[in-house]
Amino acid sequence: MTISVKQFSFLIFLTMIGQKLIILPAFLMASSGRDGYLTLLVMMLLELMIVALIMLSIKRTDKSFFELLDKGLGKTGGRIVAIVMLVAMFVKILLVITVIRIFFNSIFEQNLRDWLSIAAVCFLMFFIASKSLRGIGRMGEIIFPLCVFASLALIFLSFRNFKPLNLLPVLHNGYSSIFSSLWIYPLWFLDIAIMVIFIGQVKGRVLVQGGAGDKKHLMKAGLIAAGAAVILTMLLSLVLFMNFGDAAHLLDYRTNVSGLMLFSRASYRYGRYDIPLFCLFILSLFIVLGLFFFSFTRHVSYVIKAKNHTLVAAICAAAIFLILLIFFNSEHTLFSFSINWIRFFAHFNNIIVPVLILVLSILISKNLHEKHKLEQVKLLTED
Amino acid sequence: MKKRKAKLRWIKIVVVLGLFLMLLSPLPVSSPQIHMSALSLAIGIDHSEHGVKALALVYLPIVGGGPLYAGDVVEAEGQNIAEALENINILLGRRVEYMHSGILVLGKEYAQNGVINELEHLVITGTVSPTINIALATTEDTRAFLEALNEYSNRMTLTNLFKYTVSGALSHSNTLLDFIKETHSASGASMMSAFELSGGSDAGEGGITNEDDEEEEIEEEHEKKEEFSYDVESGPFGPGMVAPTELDPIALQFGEGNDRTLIKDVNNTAIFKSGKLVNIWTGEESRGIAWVDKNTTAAIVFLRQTPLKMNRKKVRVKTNIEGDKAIYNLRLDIRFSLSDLRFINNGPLLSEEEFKKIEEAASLKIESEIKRAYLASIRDEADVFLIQDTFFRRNNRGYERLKKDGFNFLNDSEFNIEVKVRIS
Repeated sequence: MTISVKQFSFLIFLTMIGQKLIILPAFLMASSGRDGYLTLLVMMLLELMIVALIMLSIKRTDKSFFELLDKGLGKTGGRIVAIVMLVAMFVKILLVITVIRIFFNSIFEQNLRDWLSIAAVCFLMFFIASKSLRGIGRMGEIIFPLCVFASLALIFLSFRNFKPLNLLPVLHNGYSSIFSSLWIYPLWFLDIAIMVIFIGQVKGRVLVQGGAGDKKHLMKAGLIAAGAAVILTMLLSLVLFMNFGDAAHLLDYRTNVSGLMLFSRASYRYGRYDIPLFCLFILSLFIVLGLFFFSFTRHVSYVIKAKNHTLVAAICAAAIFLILLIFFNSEHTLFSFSINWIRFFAHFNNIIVPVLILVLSILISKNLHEKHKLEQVKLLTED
Repeated sequence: MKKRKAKLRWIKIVVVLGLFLMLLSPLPVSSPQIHMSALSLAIGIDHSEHGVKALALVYLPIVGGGPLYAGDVVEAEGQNIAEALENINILLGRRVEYMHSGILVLGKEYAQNGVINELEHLVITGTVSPTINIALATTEDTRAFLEALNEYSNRMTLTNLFKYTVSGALSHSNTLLDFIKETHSASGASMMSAFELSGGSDAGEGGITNEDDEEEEIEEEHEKKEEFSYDVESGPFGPGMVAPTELDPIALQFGEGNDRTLIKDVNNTAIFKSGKLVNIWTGEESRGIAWVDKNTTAAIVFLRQTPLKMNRKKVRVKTNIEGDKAIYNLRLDIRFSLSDLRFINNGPLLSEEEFKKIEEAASLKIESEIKRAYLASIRDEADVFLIQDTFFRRNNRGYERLKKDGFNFLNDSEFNIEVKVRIS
């Protein structure tokens, strides 16, 4: 079951904008002050690079991610990599569910019981993971225009509060705060690395040496989607940094969302359009959650050699539900945990895995190419 | 296989319906009851013996719908603002929703002791919106001020009161967020509107002063007026023309003659330094800030009885540090429209030369008003034009260098003003 280049590009866009605005800016503001937007920019550019790496891998091979691991590292090596990846993916899923919970609790219903909102999200995760990647692709196709509309409308509403002078002076405290944030918050960005799961799952023939292949537009489409995500995310977050950058202590992650909504001051006069707009925007976070949980269940199936993905998804969803309720009921605990030693696993997933997969895809495709050549030579000599 | 799929589908439908029903049931979700809350339209903070006094103009929704209970001002004291607000909840037996508030009013005595901690607390805890308008009650009684605000009946008109007076009456206004940011800026000076009630007597006379000085100040005001007025006969208008001697802002003066206490004047500005009230500027002193304020874009000023309506304003600031010299250039491009010429000219038409004369006089007048505000800011050592902050942002290296040498950016900078007025 493969997805089209268009669906893949939409998913890139949605994954990149997903978690950048809801809580992350409050963290960046606390650690980098008014220069936090530069940290975000570096994060987005890194994501753009990871997109390029994944695209190159997709163009090189028609093998799936797990096939590449098996062939490149052997069955044991592949499973070790998958287990290491599972650790950060697991924490990431807990984080995304918590972010969604905070969002809906802070906007709609503060008295909503935690277990209920977590149960609803876990059921959605299970539903997505019980389907194929194509299902996520189709979901992305539906959600993409809604998210683009919401982002553009939010930018339009907040345009009055665009005060570039508030961002000056640039780098007043030096570069160190920018790079320390990159080191501390790997679980909050570079979500795009999860797209390695799509290797071998995008429609079209592999690019062969000297030929065009069916995936010639893949790189262009992917980079355009990623570029659009960078621009929209930066425009939206800039307003936040322009308005709160000088008074970062006023904003914490709980008031971040309401802080964002305040930009659309006109909404007080004409109605709170910003709330439904944010609800549309948050749909991208469901895509991120779906992708991570899908990838998580497939990794578990790969490690334990299970074939019933629905059953694995059900067990994983139930386990996440219980762990969140028992151990991470308070978001403080989870957020503190996310910047603890666990972040090193995220660095592995975000940077090392995409590079490793690209190397494996190049080596394997080279071997295949040489094999193919040898077979041709054999055939010619037999003739 | 088909049976299994159908079974699975039914299970999913049942689970989705179950979750939906759970959302509706009162067991997992305690749905908010509007009659258990109170809606606050305006908040007041004042000084008290116990620490802080919080006041709220609240409306109480009635069970079963219908009109809201008439607005009433409730107050409670506490060691800090959080405790005082909680005490209001206890007093009413309901949770007051302060997020709906349109205005935050500070008492004068409280403002003199420093306000920033309490104000930041309100934003950090999400009690009020950071974009709430703030004002100083120039009367001693903040309660009377909130009662006067009650006349505006709802949040929207309260907000509009600010929006309109700022744009229409040449007064400077601030939101809570802007106020906190200005306090933390390199300049450290911040402002807010200072409203005077129709019965008020102690505002608009140069701020925190003794009553004995009142007479002297009135004389000084008179002198200032003379200093900045133009001679009609020998002035730039020449004989036969009327100079714009009084560019008076509109004051909110209604409801006079009955017992109601209403807001009389919105033109004064409370000046703060490091979050402490240092002075209250009169409407005339404040006008200079309003001209520079980018938000004041649609003021109506009067050329004798003829209204001059500001249509567009561009404020440009250029800064430069050359050696030990800091230069601050302020340029204003203002466009007015003049619709009723009866009081300026006998006929309906004005010549180009006459237009130019009016433009020149208006630009001179605006320039002098800005200079007056600048001199007042030097007098109070409060950098309300954010001169130091602008150098800090735009010329950071030079700023840091001069700052080390003890350079005073407010007093020692070269402050140049250029005003270009066009009347159409």
